[in-house]
Amino acid sequence: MENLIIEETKFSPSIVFDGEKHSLSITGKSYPENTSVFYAPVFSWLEDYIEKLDDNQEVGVNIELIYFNSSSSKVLLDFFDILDEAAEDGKSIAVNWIYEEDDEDSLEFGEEFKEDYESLTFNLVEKKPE
Amino acid sequence: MSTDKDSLFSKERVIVKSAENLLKNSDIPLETLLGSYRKLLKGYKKLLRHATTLTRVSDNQQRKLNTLLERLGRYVSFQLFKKIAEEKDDNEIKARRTKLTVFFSDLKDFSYTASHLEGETLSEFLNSYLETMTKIVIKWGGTLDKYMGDAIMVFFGDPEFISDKDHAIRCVKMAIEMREQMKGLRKKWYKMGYQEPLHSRMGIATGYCTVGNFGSSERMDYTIIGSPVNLASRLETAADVDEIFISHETWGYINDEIICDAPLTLNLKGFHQQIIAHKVLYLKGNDNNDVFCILDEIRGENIEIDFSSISKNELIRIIKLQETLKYRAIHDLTTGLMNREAILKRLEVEMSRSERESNALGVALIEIDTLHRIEQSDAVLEDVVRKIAEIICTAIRDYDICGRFDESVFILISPGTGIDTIPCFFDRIRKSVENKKILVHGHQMRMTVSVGGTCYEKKITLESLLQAVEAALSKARKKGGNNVECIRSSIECFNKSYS
Repeated sequence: MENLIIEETKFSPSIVFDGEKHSLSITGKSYPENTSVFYAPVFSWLEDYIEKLDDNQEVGVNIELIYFNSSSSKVLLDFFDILDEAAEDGKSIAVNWIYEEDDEDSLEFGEEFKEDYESLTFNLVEKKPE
Repeated sequence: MSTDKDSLFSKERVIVKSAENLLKNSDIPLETLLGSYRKLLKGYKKLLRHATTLTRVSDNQQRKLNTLLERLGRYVSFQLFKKIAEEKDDNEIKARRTKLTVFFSDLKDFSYTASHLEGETLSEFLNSYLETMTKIVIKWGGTLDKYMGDAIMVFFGDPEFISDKDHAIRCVKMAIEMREQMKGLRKKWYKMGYQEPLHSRMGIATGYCTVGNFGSSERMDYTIIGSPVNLASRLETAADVDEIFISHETWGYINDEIICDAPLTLNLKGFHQQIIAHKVLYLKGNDNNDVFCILDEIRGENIEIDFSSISKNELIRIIKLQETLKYRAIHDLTTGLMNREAILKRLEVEMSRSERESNALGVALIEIDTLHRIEQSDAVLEDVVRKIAEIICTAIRDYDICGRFDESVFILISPGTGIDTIPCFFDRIRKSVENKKILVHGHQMRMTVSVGGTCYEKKITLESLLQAVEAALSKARKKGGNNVECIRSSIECFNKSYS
């Protein structure tokens, strides 16, 4: 299947979903004008991808958001719900919530999301300064 | 936006819709009902979970935003921050012309001081200065434009406009308060160990400026440009330490409230014509200064009375207290005469006056005979002393000075009384005591005094004079009391008696 690549803008994150490398990344800021429209292709790609995914294939999902609005939080919850269900079905999916060193707020957001999921592997990853 | 929200919750809406449709049928098989109910419950649980998480995330974000705003508020002026925060749409502050009063200040020779201070010390030093000054800017409602090192730029008249006169007056009053506060800061800095006392200088000008956002679309600066800005800055540079120079236009608005020096004519860089400037002195009257201070370093008195808050009774109490303290410092409380310290100081004054004016000066010690034999309480004995003091005071002349020397001894200074007249004069005092009956604890008693007298002679020290007069008193005492003995005070004639 084709990779999903959406360029980063001032209001929306960069999306790089690579089906061959099994690496899914959302990076940047997320407060698009129309959140559901922006994320619609993300969800349809994800549903197709999971349907075809082998159980023993390890998948890494990297989320690195410096700012997101409330609608994006809801989208993230829906997104994690799909991953959680897949994990429940036996897929090996790990979410990496990446936050900047000393960014306690971002760490707290990650902790809030992590609490909700049981099957899904949810890692809080501190980004080392380059 | 509503469509966005709708589609965000599309899955949840589908569940609600199917539940609603199901309820429309009256005849539903139990199995269908249960299946639908499970779906609804699952959806509800998920929604609850989402709502909980979203609330927490949203609260967190709001807190983050508030902290950010608070921090940001420190970097822009209070007025501008308020305007940005309260502005509903994305209206940028448009550039416009308006009359403003502009203020500049800096610390004279600060670069020199800064050059030999450590970085940490420098920032502590500078921040304590800017903190104090900024509080005054806020107090007077000025828009703090920027800090440039030790320099401060403030303007009045935007974003809040009141009247040109009001802006000018508030600005000058702010400058006067800053100058006053500098005195306190200098004391503080000196105590902290900074050697050079720093002084500020200030310049103020009024006129039309362009106010608005200047800069690029990425980084805007809300500031002002125009000739009054340059003028205020040049006036500041022209001012000497602790001086406030104001432009003639500013002066036009404030001269009925603030006293200025005679106008000066200045040649300022960037201005072709000569500029009239006024040096601000102080506020007229005491409208804004209700604090009255008495600072008497010699007497060690430091009284501060705030008339804005003090009541009449409190004021009277303070004055009375001051008077009492002053009185107690130099008087003997029993007799109302000068105490030993005060009378000896007075004696020294009289000695030097006698020396200077070649006038005679008689001095006597007057001791109450047998006071210690009266077997009564201290209070009764003090009453006897007081009554005898009253008799002595009636017997002496207006220009004689009497004081209490110790428990039972008075000292009398008699300017103008010479060698020939002292025995006779002192004897008159002795007789007046002897002749007057006094009431002691309900009993009429006659008391007597012994008097030792001398005359001041040139170049005699206070100590020698006292020795002479004490020797004379001792002599009178040895003769059985109720007696007057006079001797000369100069050492070579120490033992010669007049009587």
